[in-house]
Amino acid sequence: MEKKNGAKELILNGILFENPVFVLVLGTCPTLAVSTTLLGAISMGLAAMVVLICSNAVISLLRKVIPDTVRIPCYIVVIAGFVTLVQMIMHAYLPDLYELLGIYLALITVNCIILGRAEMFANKNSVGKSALDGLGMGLGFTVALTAMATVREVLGNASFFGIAIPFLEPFKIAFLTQPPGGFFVFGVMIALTSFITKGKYPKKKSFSCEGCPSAGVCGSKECAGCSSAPEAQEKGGEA
Amino acid sequence: MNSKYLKSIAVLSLICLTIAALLGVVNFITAPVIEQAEIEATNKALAEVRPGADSFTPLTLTDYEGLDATITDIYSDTLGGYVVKLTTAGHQAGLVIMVGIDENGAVSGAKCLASAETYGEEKTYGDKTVGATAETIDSVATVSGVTKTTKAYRNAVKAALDAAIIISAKGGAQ
Repeated sequence: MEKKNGAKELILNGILFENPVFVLVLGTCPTLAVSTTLLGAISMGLAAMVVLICSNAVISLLRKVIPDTVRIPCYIVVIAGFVTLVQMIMHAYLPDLYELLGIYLALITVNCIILGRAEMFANKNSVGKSALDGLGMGLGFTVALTAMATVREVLGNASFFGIAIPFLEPFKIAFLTQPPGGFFVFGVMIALTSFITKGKYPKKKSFSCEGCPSAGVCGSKECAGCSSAPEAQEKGGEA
Repeated sequence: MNSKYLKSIAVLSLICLTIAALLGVVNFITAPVIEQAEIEATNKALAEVRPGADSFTPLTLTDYEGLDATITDIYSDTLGGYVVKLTTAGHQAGLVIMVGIDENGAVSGAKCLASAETYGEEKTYGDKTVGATAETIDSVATVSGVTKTTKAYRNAVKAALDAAIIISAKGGAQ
């Protein structure tokens, strides 16, 4: 896996082919919530990217030290630590953005893109590659949020980065700034991404049960052959 | 088997301690900056909700009976008005609001200083309450879709207006 993934592929995967929002359909809650304004969307994307890069790097660094049985609590502590760190720094030096993101900044902790990448990628790959994966996924998340926010703010609110576009005012579709409008734009974006990638992504291995964050606790029959399945872990532990 | 559990506990504890230490260092650096920024934000908000007033004097809340429990600070200003700061529950985590009241008992400005709400309407709702008095504040409409947050905001403004009446009835700032 490591040999196949060059820096360019890792970043391109994150942005397009395995885009966390439009292809892997992760992080839907913050995507719908903060994509009403471009400033909020870009800020959230960048904050999540910083957390993704740092948490991926640290989890990869500790992957041989963290016992399998406590890996999820360890990941959560690392992720929550970095989120709190970003929160403190933003509160001190970027108070306007801190106010703008509000509760969603703290909720990066439970963003499944971050936990998903920790489990799917960082705990199996080197520090460098994990950091690059974080960068790619973070950029993918930012691009996805920006794309959605552009449509929702320009067409829904007749403004761009908060600056009013007077000639669009009579034609604005307020529905797009509401939650149903968010789901509508989200669906259109997923369809568009699928069209661009010709529906070939995600590759099956990305969604195999080994890649599933719940594989360690899943009792599904399909997981029986998976090395992350409880029985396989038990055997590994005994060995 | 025991050593396996002990290793798990030791690793998790060590990670928690390391992260806590890192956060402690960052908090040590950022806390004074945040505190300073909050003082500046308060001063800016005081000037915004009571335009024209030169200085503000904090009042002692315990000197006045019947004040709403959500009120955290009250200031009197040089023009005979008041500024009331409140922390109230909104839809979720709550709002910190500052309300300016002029010498005639009408709202001269209302500003949301901090919010953990998700919608953002609380940032501008205060403008709708400008000019309202204790008698007319109930007629200021809430915003559809953000009803709980804006209702909490309106109630906070009402509590501030009531506080100004209580203080004035006691002969003004003491």
